Amino acid sequence: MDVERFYLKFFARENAIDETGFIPIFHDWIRLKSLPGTLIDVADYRHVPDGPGIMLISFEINYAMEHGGGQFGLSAQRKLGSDGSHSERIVELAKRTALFGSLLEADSRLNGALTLDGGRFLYAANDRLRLPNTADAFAALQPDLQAAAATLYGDQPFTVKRVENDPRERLTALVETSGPVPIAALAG
Amino acid sequence: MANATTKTYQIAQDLPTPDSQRMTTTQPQSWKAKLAEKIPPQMADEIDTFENQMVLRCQGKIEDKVFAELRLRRGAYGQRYDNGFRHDGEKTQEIAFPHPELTKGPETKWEAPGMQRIKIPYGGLSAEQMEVLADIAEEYSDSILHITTRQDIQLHFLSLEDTPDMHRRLAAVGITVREACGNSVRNVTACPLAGVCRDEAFDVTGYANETANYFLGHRDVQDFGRKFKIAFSGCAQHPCGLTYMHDLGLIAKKRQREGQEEIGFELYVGGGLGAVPHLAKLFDDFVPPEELLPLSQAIARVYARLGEKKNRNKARIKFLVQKLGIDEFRRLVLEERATLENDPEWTQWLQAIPQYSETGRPEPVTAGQVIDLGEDAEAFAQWKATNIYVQRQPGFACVTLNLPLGDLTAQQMRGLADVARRFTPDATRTTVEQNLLLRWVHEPDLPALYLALKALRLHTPGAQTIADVTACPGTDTCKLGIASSRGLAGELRQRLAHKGYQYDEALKDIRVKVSGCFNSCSQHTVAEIGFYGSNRLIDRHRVPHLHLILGGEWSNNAAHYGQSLGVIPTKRVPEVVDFLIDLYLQGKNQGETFSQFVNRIGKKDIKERVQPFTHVPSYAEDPSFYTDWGDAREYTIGDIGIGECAGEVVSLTNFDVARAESLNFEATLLLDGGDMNGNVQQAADKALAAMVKAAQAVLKAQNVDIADDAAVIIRDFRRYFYDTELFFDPFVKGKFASYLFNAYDNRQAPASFDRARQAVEEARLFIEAAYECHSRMMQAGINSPGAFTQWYETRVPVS
Ligand code: HEM
Ligand code: SF4
Repeated sequence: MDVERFYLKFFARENAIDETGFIPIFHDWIRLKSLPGTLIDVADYRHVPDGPGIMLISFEINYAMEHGGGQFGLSAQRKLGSDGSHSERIVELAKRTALFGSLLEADSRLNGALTLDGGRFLYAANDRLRLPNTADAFAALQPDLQAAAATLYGDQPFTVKRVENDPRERLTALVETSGPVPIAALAG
Repeated sequence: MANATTKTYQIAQDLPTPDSQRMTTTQPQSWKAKLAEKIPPQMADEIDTFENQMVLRCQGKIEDKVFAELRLRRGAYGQRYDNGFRHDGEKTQEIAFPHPELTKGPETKWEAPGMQRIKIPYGGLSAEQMEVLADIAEEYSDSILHITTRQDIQLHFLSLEDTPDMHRRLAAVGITVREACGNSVRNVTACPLAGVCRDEAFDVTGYANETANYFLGHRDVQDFGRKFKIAFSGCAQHPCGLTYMHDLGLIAKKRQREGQEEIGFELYVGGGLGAVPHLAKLFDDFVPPEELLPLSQAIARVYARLGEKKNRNKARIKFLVQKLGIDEFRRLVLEERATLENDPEWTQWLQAIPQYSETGRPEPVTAGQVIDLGEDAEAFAQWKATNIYVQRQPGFACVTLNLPLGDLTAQQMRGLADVARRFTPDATRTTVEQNLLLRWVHEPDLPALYLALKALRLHTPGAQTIADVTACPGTDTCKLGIASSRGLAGELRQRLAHKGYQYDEALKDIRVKVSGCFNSCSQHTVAEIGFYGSNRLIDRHRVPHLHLILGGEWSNNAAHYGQSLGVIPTKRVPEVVDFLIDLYLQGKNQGETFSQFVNRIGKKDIKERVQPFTHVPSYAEDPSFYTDWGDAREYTIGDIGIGECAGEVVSLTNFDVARAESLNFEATLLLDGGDMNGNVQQAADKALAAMVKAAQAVLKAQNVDIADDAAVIIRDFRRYFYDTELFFDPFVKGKFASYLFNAYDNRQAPASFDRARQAVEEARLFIEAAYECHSRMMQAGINSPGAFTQWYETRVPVS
């Protein structure tokens, strides 16, 4: 499977948090180059219901503390390819996202108001040409997700399930382990 | 890192190796192959050409200035920070793009995220189109679709690399991005209520769309000094068409002649906002439909010929009309009209007009059902009070979706496609107030529709009220932004809605619009309360400010423009809005509108009263004044760049030479697979076509109307460029021109692989020579047909 554009989302434990607080943090990260990659700008979509919230746009990835599907969480959308196989890319994006999430959780300006669950994440293929939202495409994708989850969660058992959604939406899967996993544990 | 942004660059470097196949149809999994059947050939060809031009730009074969205009004419704008620099609040930092040497325009990094404007003529959207828009927003952008103040849709943070596929996916559902920006005819707008309005003379939908079709890519609209905007309105009294602020505005009209009813248009010309706003002038008070296109064409030709080309600040048609006076302008246009050769396309489309008429679904979807709104009943009533327009067709209503700052998510758009299919005859429109309008909803369906919209969170009340604030992109993404129009608008929207002002009958007709700079993209000039971005140096720091604009009038097709009452620090603007509302509510006379109130009290008086709000505390006292809304950085003006409202003026010759380049590039690709691939003849033909195109390109300097006929081009090229030695190279003299003549003379002879390869090489040299010739002419001042004629009479050698 050679897909460059895909999306991961880790959920937040809490549903409401003053998102305005993310704005100065993301600006600082750009200034201080706190994350790998070419960081560009912050986008503010607080006004959009169930929308992308506050985004940090980089050249490679769009990060967002967002409300898609009515669920608050941290998402990362890879816009262009990185080295390696698709499963390696998934691992790489999960780690980058986890790094982002652990930095954010730890930021003193949020006073511990945010906790992200590292034990579950959504994957969505963002390329309807190569990975349409079909059973066949899911069958082709599943091994990549299995391999990625095995790398991320080691011995912990996990499941990879296709999310039943509107066929026009993106091919989406939920990867889930049994126990709780702090987001920081994935970042390493 | 193998990153996609450099794909084109890689291809450009690798050509003609076998893996350069991305540009041909051989790649199995591509949108190009997948959608081949669905895209009209002309559109497919345009997109391929643009893709080729991207490769040529990466090879340095197209100048960045020319490429920028080519890209703009396909709606692909630059975005803030695309020069590779951004101020982080403390200092300007370089954004480390992997290939900073690659540019897509002067000082515009290839890899920097950009914006795509998608033209939606008269704002008409089908559910199928909405689905594709949702998909591309999700896949290529940030999942947000933004409705603009001219009924377009914009996507932000895009990679240029994705544009050809994105354009293909749009083309497959009948959407073109051609001429969405650039110095050409922009989106043709129309009242979104056209066809259902209670007051219109007649439905202008078809007229708007057919005008858009006629001018799309039309030769007479390629050589403007600036953009050209056309708007249609169904009546004179309402604002929907905003005809007075357009380059060409048309208002539907009926009249009686010899007992017969006739339909036609009042035609206005030379309106526009921007830094120097002008109200349009009446050109003709009754233009019958069959005269609509020829007269508009004559206007376009006069504008192309006489409009300013060098100083882009004076290049809109409004300046030409002002300079000549409307009477002289009219005289010239009518003279031009008389010389136009009859074009069957002027009237053919009239037969298509009846096809634009719509009707509702035969029955309400919820016929026979009882919809229990339960606890939503009150919210439904409020929504119904503000978001519904009762159509002239009994039993039907239009529903406005109040989109915050014109934004909706891909998921919402997809859900809305279902709603449109379920409740309407699939007739959705975008509006200039950055909203969406569902038409032909059966009134009994409104409760069910409300619930369906609520499920999508598209049920916000207060559409087109004071709380429905409009904003241009501003400092969020626009390179010219001075202040954060969206940040402020988001704040105002929330505060005004919180106070319940959207339900206040007395405030019903007040609109608030915010632009990030004087260019007026939010149309603040015609809002009752308008703002545009500015800044002041205070306490040795920059402070974001906004000009307060009062006195504008949205109704009557934007018949009055507001004036500035001076600047206000942006952080105090919400207080000022509250103050103005209170002032009005307390002091207004019975039935007095806000604008009438402002005029009665006088701007001077209001300015004095607003004075206390202009105070800015020192930095030490309150640093929040030194930061803009929705931002955390200390405010600077360091990020303001050079705008791309329409790139630079690039001559017709430049364009056609670029087109010749891409034709020849296609020829090169056809020969890629060696002599067995069956494309040899096609390659030779393309190489010849490329030379003919380049010859036509240089001929445009002598005659802008040079025909597309190869024989005519060869004849005139020989006469004006060969016999005069104008095309001669200083060293090899007429050699390059002879390539064209020979290839043309031998065009019937079957091509061998070697012959075709040679033809491609010769075409390359010929195109180079065309560039050279054009530069020599420019240096010698031969830059217009007039100058050419002068030169031709003397024939002073040009070296
Ligand atoms: C010197 C450069 C520019 C000028 C003079 C200019 C002027 C204007 C004016 C007067 C309008 C308003 C309405 C109208 O006349 O129809 C408009 C519309 C608009 N402008 Fe600009 N503008 C410029 C650059 C930009 C840029 C760089 C952006 C953002 C990237 C932008 C975004 C918009 C948008 C979103 C609209 C709504 C129009 C549409 O959909 O066609 N403008 N512009
Ligand atoms: S008004 Fe100014 S800031 Fe706003 S979009 Fe237009 S050019 Fe940009």
